[in-house]
Amino acid sequence: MSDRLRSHLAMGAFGLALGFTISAAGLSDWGEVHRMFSLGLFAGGPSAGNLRLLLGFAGAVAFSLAGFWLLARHDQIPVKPIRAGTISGALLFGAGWAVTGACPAAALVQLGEGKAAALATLAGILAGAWLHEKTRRRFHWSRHSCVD
Amino acid sequence: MSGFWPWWLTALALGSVTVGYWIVVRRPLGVSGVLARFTRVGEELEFDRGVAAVNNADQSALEAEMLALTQEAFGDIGGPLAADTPSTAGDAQAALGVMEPATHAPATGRACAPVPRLGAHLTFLAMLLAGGALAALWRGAWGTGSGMGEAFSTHLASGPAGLAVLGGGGLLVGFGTAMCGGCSAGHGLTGTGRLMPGSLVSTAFFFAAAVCVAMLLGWRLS
Repeated sequence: MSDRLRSHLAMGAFGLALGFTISAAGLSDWGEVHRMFSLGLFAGGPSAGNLRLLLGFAGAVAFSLAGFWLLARHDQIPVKPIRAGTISGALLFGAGWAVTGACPAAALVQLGEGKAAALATLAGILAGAWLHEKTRRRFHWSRHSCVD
Repeated sequence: MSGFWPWWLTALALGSVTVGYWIVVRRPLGVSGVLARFTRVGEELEFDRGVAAVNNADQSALEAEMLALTQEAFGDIGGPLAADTPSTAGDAQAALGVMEPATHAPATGRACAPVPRLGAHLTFLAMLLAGGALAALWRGAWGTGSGMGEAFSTHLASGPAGLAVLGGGGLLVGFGTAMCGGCSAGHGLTGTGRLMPGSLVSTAFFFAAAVCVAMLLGWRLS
């Protein structure tokens, strides 16, 4: 099997798994995402059902922590330091996520679910990334990596 | 109640994908950076071609040429360097003290793979879409609506105004993730799972911002 085919297969398999998970978890559903970020306060309070996605995300982080420590703690994984745009960029992203109900992956997942309106979100995301690339030199911001 | 997975299954699946991606692909999982590549396709294809050219070139000829160019630029740095020319990138970095101070043990474990070609990343994005389609079909929700649903319409807007809200919000997502160097996958899962400072700070702030905006949206209605 050629390296190129293997690369397509691996990336395709993980794309499929991640897309399925995001959709099945409800992370591509605006109402579910809104309930997660508003901590269920407008849906009867922070009950276990209302905090389902929040617990899911926190559990995933805990699972990753354990997984990376058990299986990859000696690996040479690139570091992610705090940089000039870390806080302001994160604030913009968080606001956009709460409005659109979509993180970058979820926008594609929504499109796959037949929600054509996600095309507007996707166009916005691509335009935003493009705009950052155009403005970052003027403000002496760095591109954080070629690809994260 | 909603037909979505319980929290523990979500946690298990997202965590497995995050750690498994590194083990198999040897790259930290991320989505926003991959999407951003497609806003500069020409540049990225040129990058891919450059990587391929270096990989296909005769390594010893390449090293000799680089040494010649270095000497041309900085003058003859003498014999010892040529004799001790590090044989691998790791040796070179160790020799230059770039990555590991001399007091540290040499790095072990899996090394990070080079960036996949743009075509493989396109497959990744296409299959994200396919995964969403499959999950929606599986729970019988495919094609039940082309919009973002009732909750979105009541909290924000519907029709063309709704599309404008999504586009504007998307702009924030695209700009913000490019600025902070990751999204919920790269920072939220992979970075926090490895306790990276930039990811912990990013995740704290994007969650805080999202909670504030969601509270405002909910409070406006109640």
